[in-house]
Amino acid sequence: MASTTATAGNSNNNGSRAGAGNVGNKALYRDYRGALGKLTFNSKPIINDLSKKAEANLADAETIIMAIEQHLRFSVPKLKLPAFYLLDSILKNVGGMYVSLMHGRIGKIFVEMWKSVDDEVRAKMERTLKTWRHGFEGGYKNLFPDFVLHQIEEDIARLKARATGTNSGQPLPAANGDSVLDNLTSMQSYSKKRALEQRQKSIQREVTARADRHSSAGSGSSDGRLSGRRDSRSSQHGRHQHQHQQEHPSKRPRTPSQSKADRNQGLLQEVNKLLIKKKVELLRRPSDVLLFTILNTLKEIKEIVAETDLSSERIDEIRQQLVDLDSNTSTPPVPSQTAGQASASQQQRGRGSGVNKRSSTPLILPAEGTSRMDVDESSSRRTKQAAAGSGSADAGQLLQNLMARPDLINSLTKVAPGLSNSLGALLVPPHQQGTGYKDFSQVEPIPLTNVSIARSRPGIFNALYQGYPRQCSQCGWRTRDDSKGKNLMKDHMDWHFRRNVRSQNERIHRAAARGWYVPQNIWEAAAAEEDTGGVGGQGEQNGKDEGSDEELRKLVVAVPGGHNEPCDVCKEPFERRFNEDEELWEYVNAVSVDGTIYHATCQANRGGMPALLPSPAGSSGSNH
Amino acid sequence: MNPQSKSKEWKLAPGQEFRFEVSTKSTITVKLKSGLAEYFGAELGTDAQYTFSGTNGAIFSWQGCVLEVSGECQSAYVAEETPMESYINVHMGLQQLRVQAHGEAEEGSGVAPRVMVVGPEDSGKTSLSRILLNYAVRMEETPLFVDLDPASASVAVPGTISATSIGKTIDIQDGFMGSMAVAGSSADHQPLVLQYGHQDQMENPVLFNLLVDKLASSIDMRLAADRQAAASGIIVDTHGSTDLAKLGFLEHAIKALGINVLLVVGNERMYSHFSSRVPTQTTVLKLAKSGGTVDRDANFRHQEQSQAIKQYFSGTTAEPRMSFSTVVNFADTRVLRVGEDAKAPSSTLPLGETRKLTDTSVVDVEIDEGLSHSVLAVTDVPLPNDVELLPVSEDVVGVQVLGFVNVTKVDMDKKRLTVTSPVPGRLPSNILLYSHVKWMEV
Repeated sequence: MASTTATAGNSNNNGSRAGAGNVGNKALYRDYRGALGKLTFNSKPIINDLSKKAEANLADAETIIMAIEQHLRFSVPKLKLPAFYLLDSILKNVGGMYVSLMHGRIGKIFVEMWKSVDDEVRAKMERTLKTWRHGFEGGYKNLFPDFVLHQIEEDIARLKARATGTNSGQPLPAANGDSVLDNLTSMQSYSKKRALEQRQKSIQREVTARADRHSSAGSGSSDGRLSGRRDSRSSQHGRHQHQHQQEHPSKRPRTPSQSKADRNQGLLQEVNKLLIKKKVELLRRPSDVLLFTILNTLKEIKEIVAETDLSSERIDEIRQQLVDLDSNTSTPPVPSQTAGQASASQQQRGRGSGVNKRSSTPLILPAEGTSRMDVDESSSRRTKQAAAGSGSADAGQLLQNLMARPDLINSLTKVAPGLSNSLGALLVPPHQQGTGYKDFSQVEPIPLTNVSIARSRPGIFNALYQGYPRQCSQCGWRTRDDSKGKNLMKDHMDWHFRRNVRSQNERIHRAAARGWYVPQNIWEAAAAEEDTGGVGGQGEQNGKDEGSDEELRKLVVAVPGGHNEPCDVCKEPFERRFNEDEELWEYVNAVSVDGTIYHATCQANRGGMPALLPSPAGSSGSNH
Repeated sequence: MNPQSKSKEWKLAPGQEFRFEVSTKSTITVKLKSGLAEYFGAELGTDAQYTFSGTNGAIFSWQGCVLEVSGECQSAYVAEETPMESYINVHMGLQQLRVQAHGEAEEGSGVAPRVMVVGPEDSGKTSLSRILLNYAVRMEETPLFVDLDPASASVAVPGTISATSIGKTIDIQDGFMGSMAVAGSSADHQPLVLQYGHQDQMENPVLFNLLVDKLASSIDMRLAADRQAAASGIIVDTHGSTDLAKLGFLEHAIKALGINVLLVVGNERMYSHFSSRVPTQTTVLKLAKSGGTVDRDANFRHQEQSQAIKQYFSGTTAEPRMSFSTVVNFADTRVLRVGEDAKAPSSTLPLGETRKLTDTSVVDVEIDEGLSHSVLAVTDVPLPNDVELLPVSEDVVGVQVLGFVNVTKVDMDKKRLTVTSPVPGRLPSNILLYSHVKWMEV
């Protein structure tokens, strides 16, 4: 406790003041508060330790609860969630006294904390709350009586309604400051943005529509960011808007500059015009690979322009690139080169294009299927070479200039996660790591040829890392940053937690049995999941059964006269206990099967043997 | 050399690899201080500590990192040259095939990568398999790992071949055995294990190839039942050998398993051998072997195998398992062996001569002290109605092994066997399959 952080130390003082009056065990209180100070992130080991400590001090549950309560109240928001998880852990794993003591105050604690934290933490709290209702680990009853949980849910719902129902909202501390400001801004310009939104939509429609219908493309005004559309849509919903803002990576301090926005918008128009022009050209020369690449490049540039606040210099730069791009590529690229490279890559692929005997379909290597976008790395390299050769600037030149601006590339990869393969391939700066390949979709087709796999693709590993940004610190496992990934990670953390708890239990009790492998027919049907009942005492199953394990341990058998045998399964002696009501000795955790007494838990394990197997006649486990 | 057990920091620049060898007698602890790093494709957690004992390992970093290592290594160094760039290219290429296969899974026409890794002994085949599996798992695939090396002990005990659906990262410390325990939440990731009973294919080539056929047909059935898993494809690890006679087993397996991508690690001769021999739909690629591979001597391999059997019965540090002692009567038990024993090795047979069908016939093994310390396979083979009859070969060869028991005591007076079993109580069947693999708990 001597080494608490400044923040924790601070809150410690507060807590001492607040709690000193009615705390039973002051030394324990201080000790526990100090330990809480170390809980600066969601660390399962620390939470486990503190839960155990709470268990050890069951008699002083009141003190422990007080310590946590004060900690939750006075610590800075980011320290609250770990402490909340600790509380959750104590309630679920220690239970008993702690649960009964919390009945009266959990509602207040929960709501108070909920009010003081941001949306992300709130969501996590609500998820935890759900586990209190439906029980945990497939449990069967609520952690708290229904009315307690109902009250919390009602309070939260009311607070939410207040926050979203009116524009003024409930200005919640710190985290929401920005969104309030944004709210006002967007409200003021609501109607203006509404108009812009329509115009933006029409621009987009135009771009994707036929080229000759581009005359009405918007003459925009005001803020050119496409996201303005989102702002306005959600301006009535402060909370949602706040989320959007958080999600928006290109968010910058707002310095509303009308002229800059104008310029931005103007540039967007120019890009659109050029895009349309190139599309027309592509209609005339559909097989022109370079043109296609340029078109994709333009699309990406459009996204950058649309989604990013650009400085005026950068706008000028891009404008210059557009001019160059336009003038230089109006002449068709050398066709022989395109043909040459196609056959080259065909040769390169060589053996890969045979026929698979199983499905009698050719083993299609990626580059082959995508003739429309024939941009395997050789072609993109050639494109670049061709580009460099053709004078001052074109797509390649533009990209090189883009590459010289890592900030631009970063914002690009942030705002345009769905980068096309072509640009993704071109964008990787040759000697620079850390950019490009933000996602697997950006990886250019990699033909499985000796030449292709030997080639260095700097930064390609990012597809394995940046594409899966959510990471478990305990084992390094990663998931995507979407809601599916979120849920997977939550399940994963729960699994870690269960496993940690279980391995502690195992040290006290015993390890799980490995069990038998699944029978062949089940393996072949890939149906093991549905049929785990037929599987032997598999580890996790035991974990899930822990609740029922507890029940099993409560089973008793009256000790038969003169019986002194150990359990027939594990060969361990039974625990005896005198039942005062019945006035007889009984074995704890025991069942009698056909006159033989087993540990109830051992018998349960035995029962887990595959039921579909013939019961062997002779292989008796007895050794009396 | 780092004789002190004091902790030492190792800095890896991007693309570098920390390689270490730890004897069975010592243990090292590795912690990731900063940056990002991976152990054969499995990323290290920032809050975790990893202990290694009796192993050779390599921690690679794409981005650069600082590692804190304590404990005594037999050797420890930072390598700048690794084949990782080509390995990750292979992964990305395979992943693109998987994406296509997923997309076409509905029509059933997608061609998922069926990969086999071949190469000489100690060329890092299992490590490459592990990297490819872990990268695939990262991308939410569930590839099937097929272990055709009867001497290895990745998934089950030696003397077997197996197929396992890999749904989670392969555990850094505990390897495939640990990852099975980790995946224990679903029996879906349990292996299909077939008993071969020898560590060398040459002991009974006919049986070995037959088992590969059986495994392949089970795999086909499973992948037909699970199209998503089918699109993830399979990755096959093999026995390392450049011996021409043994390459025949690989050719057989390539056909049986429908391999369409063959990765030849670190051997030009094998590359050219297979290039001219594999079916046309099979792409053959050559890959450099990692400079970090260490030649394992017989002793080291033996220790690895012992370790695997120990892990089967006692679990791993992270996932301990309890085993149970069970007594069975001789009279109620039959130990069967597939193929005649004590024959001349096939290398002494006249050229072109193959073994006879008796290679897969079933014979009784007499229960006596000779069975001591044997690791026998437990099956669900039904007992023939007539005790005198031998079960037919089809019922015994290539059937799923439910698990293994270790004979700890043969009591000739009382005619009883004491065995260690992974499950308490009676064995599910009283027919056990013999193996030459022996093990004694120390």
